[in-house]
Amino acid sequence: MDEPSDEELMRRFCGGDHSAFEALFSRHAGRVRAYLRGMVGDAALAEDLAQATFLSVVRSKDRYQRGSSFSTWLFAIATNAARDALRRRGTEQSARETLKAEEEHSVDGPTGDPGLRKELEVALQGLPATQREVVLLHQVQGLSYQQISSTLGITQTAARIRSHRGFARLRELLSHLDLEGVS
Amino acid sequence: MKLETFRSDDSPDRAAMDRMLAACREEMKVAPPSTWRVDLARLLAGCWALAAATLAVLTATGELGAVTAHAALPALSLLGAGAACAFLGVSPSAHRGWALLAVAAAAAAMLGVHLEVTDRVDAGPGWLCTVSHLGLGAGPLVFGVLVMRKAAVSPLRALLIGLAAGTTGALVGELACARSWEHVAVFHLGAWASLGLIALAVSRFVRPRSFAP
Repeated sequence: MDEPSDEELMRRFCGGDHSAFEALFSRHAGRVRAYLRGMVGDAALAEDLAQATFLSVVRSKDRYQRGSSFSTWLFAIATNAARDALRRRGTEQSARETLKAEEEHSVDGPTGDPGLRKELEVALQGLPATQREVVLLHQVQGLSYQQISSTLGITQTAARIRSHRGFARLRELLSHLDLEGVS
Repeated sequence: MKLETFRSDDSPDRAAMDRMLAACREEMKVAPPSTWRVDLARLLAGCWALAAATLAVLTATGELGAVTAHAALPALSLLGAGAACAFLGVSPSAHRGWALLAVAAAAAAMLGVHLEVTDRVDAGPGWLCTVSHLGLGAGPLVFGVLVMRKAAVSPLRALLIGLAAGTTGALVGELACARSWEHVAVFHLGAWASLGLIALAVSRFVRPRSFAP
């Protein structure tokens, strides 16, 4: 039997079915957390923001427009949460410092080469937030430019330009590494 | 290593996920907050009721004479601008910029009508109109800020909510004050814009309860 779509689950959740929310949570929590980690460069903060994102889904389910893409709406919430956190934290430079400090003390890491992943994370923090969010949404989360346009409230052309510039900058920042995978 | 490895949290911390889900379950037990439509209705009803009550008091005390037909256009423009600002400030709509056109049209109507009005000699300094305008907008503004917290705060949303609150005073001022267009531009439109800017300034310190658009 086909699994219900996100939109169907959201419709059920809006109708009072809490298990539908749990299904949405289990589908998207990992992606949202990973996206937020890329945005803020801080695992603990990303966890808090992921929680705030899903709490926002619960509190503002009436603001979800039926028929629209759930993942687009969810990433719009996550982006707003990340922007708010970055604004409160002050300069984006501090994010890079946090990551570098984490890098020095990190003992565990995700699969693959943890050191390389850290390098990528640090490089991501070197991008302006507007480019970082587009790079993460497009190159990492696989959202189309049309979806990014809806998520961020920008034109598709602006999304393409930011993605292109962000990716070019990322390659520049990672020029000292093997760029095989960053292409 | 590819960027795609960032797609999902590949070292899922089960405890963290459980904590997040538990927090959401707790939230779902709480009575749901009012919907944005209810908030919008409350904001508009509050603004209009306050304006109506003030005009009723002014009429009863003889401060407000018969409202002339020329006031109908700016009054209707203000009602429309207030509704547009409130709707686009409170709803999840992404087309917020349009409300600013409604505000510009209402402001132009106010000034245009007053260009043709003979300056009436009123007692009291002009800033009294500004103070009255700000006073009338204070209540709706406080409510608007509370509503603002229910979704992601953006400068445009904040500005629109402030301008929506400001239409109360603008409407009363338009009907009750027959001074020159210069007076309207400085003391009425200035006060209206100030409420928008106050909301904008306050929004920087607002901690939203939700980040939904």
